[in-house]
Amino acid sequence: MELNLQIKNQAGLHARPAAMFAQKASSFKSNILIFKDGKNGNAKSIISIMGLGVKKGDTLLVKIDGPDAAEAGAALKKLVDDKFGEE
Amino acid sequence: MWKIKGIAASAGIAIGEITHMQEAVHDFCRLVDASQTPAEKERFYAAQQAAEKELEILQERTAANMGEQQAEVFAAHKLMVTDPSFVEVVLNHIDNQASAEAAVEDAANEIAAMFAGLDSEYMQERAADIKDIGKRLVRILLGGTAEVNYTGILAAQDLLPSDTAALDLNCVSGFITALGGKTSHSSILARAAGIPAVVGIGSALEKLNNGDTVIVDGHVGEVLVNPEEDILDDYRLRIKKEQERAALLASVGHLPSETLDGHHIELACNIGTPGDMEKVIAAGAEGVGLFRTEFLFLDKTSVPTEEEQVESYKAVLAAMPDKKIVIRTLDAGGDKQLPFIGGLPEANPALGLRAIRLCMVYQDVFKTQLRALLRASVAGNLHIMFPMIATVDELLSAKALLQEAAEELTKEGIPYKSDVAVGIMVEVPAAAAIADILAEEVDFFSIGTNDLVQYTMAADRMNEHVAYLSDYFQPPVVRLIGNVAKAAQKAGKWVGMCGEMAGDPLATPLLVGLGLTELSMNGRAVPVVKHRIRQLDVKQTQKWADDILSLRTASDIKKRLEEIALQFEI
Repeated sequence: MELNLQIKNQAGLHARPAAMFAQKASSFKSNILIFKDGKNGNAKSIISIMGLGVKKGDTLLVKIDGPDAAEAGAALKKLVDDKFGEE
Repeated sequence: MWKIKGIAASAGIAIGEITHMQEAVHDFCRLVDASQTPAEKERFYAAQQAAEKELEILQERTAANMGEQQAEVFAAHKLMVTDPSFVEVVLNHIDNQASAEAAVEDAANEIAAMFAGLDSEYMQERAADIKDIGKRLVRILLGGTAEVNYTGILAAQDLLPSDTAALDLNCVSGFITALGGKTSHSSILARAAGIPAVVGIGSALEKLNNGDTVIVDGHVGEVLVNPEEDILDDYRLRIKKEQERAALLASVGHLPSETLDGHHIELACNIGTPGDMEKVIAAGAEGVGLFRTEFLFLDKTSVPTEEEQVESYKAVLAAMPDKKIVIRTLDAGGDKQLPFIGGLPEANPALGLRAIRLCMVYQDVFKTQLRALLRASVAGNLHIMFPMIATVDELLSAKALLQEAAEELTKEGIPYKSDVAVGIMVEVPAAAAIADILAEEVDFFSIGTNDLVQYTMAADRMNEHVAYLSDYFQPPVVRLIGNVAKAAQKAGKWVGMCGEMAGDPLATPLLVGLGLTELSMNGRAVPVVKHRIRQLDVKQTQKWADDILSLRTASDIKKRLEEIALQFEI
């Protein structure tokens, strides 16, 4: 499955949000890739995520392939929509 | 003697001998035979585990010595050591016959280069993180230990987080680095540990020799190399004075904020989020004189719910349940636009639809906040403060809305305190001019000097060309403060201050003399101001204040206050 996520938290995907995103992604069996501006990375890797330089307002394309794709998509969307718990 | 100019990264002065940090030079073979590939992978996995263990210990030690926040960087390092992208790059290199050491070093450098190419200082700092991890793994692969022993003034290209965490901070008295800025790890850690540091000195680092005597002046960002004896004496005296000052201020923390003749001047803090309460308590303050509630509203796409607000207000009140907590209602508009309200750009935002004026237009938003405040009032000693009041009508309509909110809660059977104190922020000269009238309608005044100066002097405080007018020691400002205090006293109400002036120890004798009984400031200013208050005699300050009210210029007033300050210990 594919979904678009718009990043709304102030810091963008800095260390803490990137770590939360990677840890959440890692809890699923599916392969998860993220794409931004022609670059892509492994959603289970904090380094990959931070390397995309995602800022507030950017939109990510997330491609999920595997047995728990639907759950993974929903969980990642929730994380982003909740702004990673930031104020 | 010669001087090096750098960036002042951590305040304080240190004198000592230079020790250059040994940049570990590692020799290892880079290429291995293809048959060795599985063994090299095993070595990498073992090093990875050892690194995780080391980082765990570093994280615990740093948390204990310098606080959880400083330790977080090692939690991030732990994640990076096992990061799938990092591991993938390392394993690829090993598959191409690289030794584990070469694979780790190359992978770390490649990823660091990617981070360094991103256009933010923050991400460039992350490049230092990944290099640090690479070095750690290489050292472990070569069988090295993490122990280091440095004394004196440590000079280095850059101090990586693991370098600083492995230092014995009792032996190192200062840092000098060639790279880095105010926000680098080394600077942040130096500040947290209270060690003077000058960073970003560039190639001057190479001119420093082991054993050179240097003075590290972390206040101005200077390193004095091989100074003459009289200069050394000068700085030794400054260090001694700083130590005495620090010891004295630390001892003031738990003492009451009382003048010599027994008058209590309440010292409070200005805060922006409930998370700031820890600092308020640590500063030895007696409450909150200004809680700015904007954080709940700005940068939000929708109005914060009543529940959300109740929770935040309660968190602050409950942190000091028996202390006075002054919460200012929404001060938005002007240059702080609310996304969910919209509105047109104004030609003159400082004089436009902002603060109480905006709230009276968007009454539903305002009433929700007032309901939330009343509901939270059961958790402590709440004082509600309206910003930007200029007329009695504004104050009366705001109070009427508060009354309406209270009646709603009564009807709904929701508990709240019925005797919540209500006051206004005096920051518009109009309010200062009719302070006697307003005093009849409030429980307290709090003077906001930043806006009061801007409006009184008709000088934009962000405009450097009129900066000479933006001075709270300007006689018209001082006189207005005097008027407000007199009007409040006459009506039997208390008057405080929550602007920048409140935290300036130079102004303390004047403010006490004018009759202010509460000063709210940044936590850092509390010990100095408290110490000053403890040396004052109120009768004497009143004489000074009378005298100062007759002075003609801001520089006259400042000069007089500086003369007065000479008699205080600090």
